[in-house]
Amino acid sequence: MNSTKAAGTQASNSRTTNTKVKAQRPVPAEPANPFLPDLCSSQSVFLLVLVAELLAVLLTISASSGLQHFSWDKLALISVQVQWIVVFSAIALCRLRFWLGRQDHVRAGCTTYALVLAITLVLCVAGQWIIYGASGMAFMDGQAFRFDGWLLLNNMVIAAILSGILLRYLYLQQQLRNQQQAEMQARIQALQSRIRPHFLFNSMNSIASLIATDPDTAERVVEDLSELFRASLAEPTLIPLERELELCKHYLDIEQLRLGRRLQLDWQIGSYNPKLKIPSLMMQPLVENAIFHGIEPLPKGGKITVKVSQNDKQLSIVIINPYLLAKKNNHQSDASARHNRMALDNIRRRLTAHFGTAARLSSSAENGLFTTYIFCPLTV
Amino acid sequence: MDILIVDDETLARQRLLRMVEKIDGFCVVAEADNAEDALAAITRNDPDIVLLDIRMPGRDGLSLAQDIAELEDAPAVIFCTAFDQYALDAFGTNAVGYLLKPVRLN
Repeated sequence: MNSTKAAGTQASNSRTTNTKVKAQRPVPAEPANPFLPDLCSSQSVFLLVLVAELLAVLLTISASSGLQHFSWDKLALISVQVQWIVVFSAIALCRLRFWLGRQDHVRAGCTTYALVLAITLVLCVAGQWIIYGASGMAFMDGQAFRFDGWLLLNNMVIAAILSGILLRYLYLQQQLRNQQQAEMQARIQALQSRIRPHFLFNSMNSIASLIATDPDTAERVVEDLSELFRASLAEPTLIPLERELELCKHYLDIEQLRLGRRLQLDWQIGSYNPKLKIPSLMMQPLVENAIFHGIEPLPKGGKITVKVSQNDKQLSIVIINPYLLAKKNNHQSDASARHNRMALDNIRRRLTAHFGTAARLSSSAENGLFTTYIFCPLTV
Repeated sequence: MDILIVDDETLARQRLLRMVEKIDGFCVVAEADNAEDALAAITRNDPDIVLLDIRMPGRDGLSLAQDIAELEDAPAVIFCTAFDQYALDAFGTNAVGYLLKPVRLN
């Protein structure tokens, strides 16, 4: 009985959680793989209206048999027709952009083209009726309103040619943008730092050692390690700063077990906006570097200081660790320095990929202390 | 067979110690967490085998192994490390084994 009740409560809790998750999930602003650009954006609307007006001028010149007979009245009538076809088509395509993004390109292309022609047809028929019929302009010319089939056919042929060209242009423009974004995403993925393999094996060795003597600690190390590798294997993305700090703490907890008193930590975390986001695993490799190049080579170890602070413009992260001067280091000091530079370059490129030139990473080495500075724009 | 364990990490030394104790005829006679203490322990305890970590503060295991190789009646060196990239360098020091952490008993 109790277990049924418990199960019921659990199910109900799980439903509540699911509802919460659904409620919190943000609606994406863009489809994953858009077929056409977002025609609802103010920039697109402005450009479409401008192109429509230029088209109206061209059609007026053509219909007036040259500039010497240019008719402003005709321009007004043609402008109205072209503008509303363009605006209605843009609204329809904008509404359908999530659906179009999910279809294969031939189907999406045919649908888009057919939709624009259908809108043209409906609006041309409606246009003839409103402008010549309902407004009484036909009667002003002394004629009864009569539906003009040739005019409709002319408009449809013009619309078929021009919308074909324009849609093809918009399609190619969007595909180019998609390709650029995919390349950028691939670059970010390639730069996503992977936790060093020796850390995994050293940690496994610590766990193997702890299982016999201290199973509770062994269990905690497995949990910390899982969190770290889950983050490392996940798609690179922006994550809350708090989460990144947690990952650093998991990492340092494991290293603390291995290094014991040789590793001292000084966390100086100032107040920051809890919604603040940074690229995933951006701080952790720096802390890993501080251990690998700073603490491990020193017989007596040393202190790693992590400072995080935020002002109204940017987030600053500073990591300070002691280091062994290169001439004293015995075996692999050059390779080690090169590795450290590569890791810093890698993080610098990831920062630039996410924030552009607004983010900076720099480092200095003096008085036996290596300091890494990161400045990020505030991203919520 | 007398064994000396050289590793800067306590947990790693403890694990090797427990594994060696399970093998009949093998006994850990000393432990060291750095190269200098290891050389002193070799002189003092005259082990048959040295289980040696590579990445240690101060002098690393490769450099220590070269010194051990020059000793009269040198003990056999078996490297125990989490790094696989030092294997070639390791055999340049006349080491008889290269074990990757976590080491298996068999």
